[in-house]
Amino acid sequence: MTSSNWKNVVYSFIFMLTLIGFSQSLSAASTTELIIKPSVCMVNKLGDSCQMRVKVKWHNAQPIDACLFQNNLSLTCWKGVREINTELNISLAQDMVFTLKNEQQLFASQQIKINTALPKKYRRRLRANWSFF
Amino acid sequence: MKYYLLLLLLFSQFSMANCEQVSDQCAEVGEWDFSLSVGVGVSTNPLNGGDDIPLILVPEISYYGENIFFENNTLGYSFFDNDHLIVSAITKLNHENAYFSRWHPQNIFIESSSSSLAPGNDLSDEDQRTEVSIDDVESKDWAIDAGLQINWFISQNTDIQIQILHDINNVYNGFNGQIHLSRMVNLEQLPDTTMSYSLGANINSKNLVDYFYGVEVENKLSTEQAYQGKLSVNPYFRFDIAHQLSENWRAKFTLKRLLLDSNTVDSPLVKDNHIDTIFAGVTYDF
Repeated sequence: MTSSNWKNVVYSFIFMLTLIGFSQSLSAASTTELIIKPSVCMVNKLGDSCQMRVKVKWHNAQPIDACLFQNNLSLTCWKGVREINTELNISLAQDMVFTLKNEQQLFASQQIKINTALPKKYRRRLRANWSFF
Repeated sequence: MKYYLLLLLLFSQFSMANCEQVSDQCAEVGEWDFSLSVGVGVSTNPLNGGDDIPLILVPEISYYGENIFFENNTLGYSFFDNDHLIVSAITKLNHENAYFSRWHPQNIFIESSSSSLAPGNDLSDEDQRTEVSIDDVESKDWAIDAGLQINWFISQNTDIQIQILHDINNVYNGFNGQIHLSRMVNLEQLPDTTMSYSLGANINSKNLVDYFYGVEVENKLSTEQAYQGKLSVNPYFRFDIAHQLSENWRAKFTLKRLLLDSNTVDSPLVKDNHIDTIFAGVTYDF
């Protein structure tokens, strides 16, 4: 085997390592899991604001710097962390998406929905027109 | 078998009075509804010297709670409610005094043909001699009625309403009632258009007719102008058509004729034997 052949083997090996590393980081990003519980907040009627304490859990293959966002509002940030299991107070008046991300990357997201405890009720009108009608 | 049919009627799953969305027949519980109609219309006044009631702006307001309801001039509480029948206790303003009110400030001066006939007036017409204007009788008070209302939903589009009321503020010390059959028709040829027609009757007790339409002989009135009211049954029919123009706008037309009982028409205060209401306009639902 000539030296140029050895060079090609080394380059190929380095290229493959780079590729494996890149794909690993990709898979790590795509497998970051974010769990916020409960995922539904109950209110008496639509439009009411909902406050609740939620459990936030996430883990990532490598330590990351990331923040948890409620739509565009940053709630809390972590530095060099691989997994988190904490509790947070949140407040929302409509369905919202919670996102774990940093400036470069979006790791995971989850939607918290608002449900009304009492479904809308309707009743038959009893026809009380003005008397001249 | 007949008990089974009765039970089936009372607890039928095929609901007539139940609603699943806001519509012309259904209101959302706990929400206020406002609408304002703008158009041209009139409700005629059958009394001598009385002004027709102009209908230019007609606001409508309603609120339906679980049991309580408020709609225009009626406040009610429904204490029995099944799929076909709703029974409510209600209170409302009696409208009879509206015919004695001045609706046009410019019409304070009544026309000579219906003017009061004070002694000494030169009169040749026997009918005219017995006419009495609303200005010749004591002003009337607004009565507040209270009583029962029964709504019977025969089918999804047909219902009967019965009211039995008595005044609660000692104005006429009598009863009045109403029976009203209404049928709604959706026209396939005209989408977004609903048409309804109604038949009914207003029943006014002797005391009510006597308070509003009776004439006592006093001062300038002669004995032949005296009149004592009697029980009156006034039938009516009504036709409505409405077309939804957009989410908030509707065009509508209403026509109603009420035929006055001879026991009311015989009063010298009354010049017409019917009351017509006509209105055409657009409605904005807030």
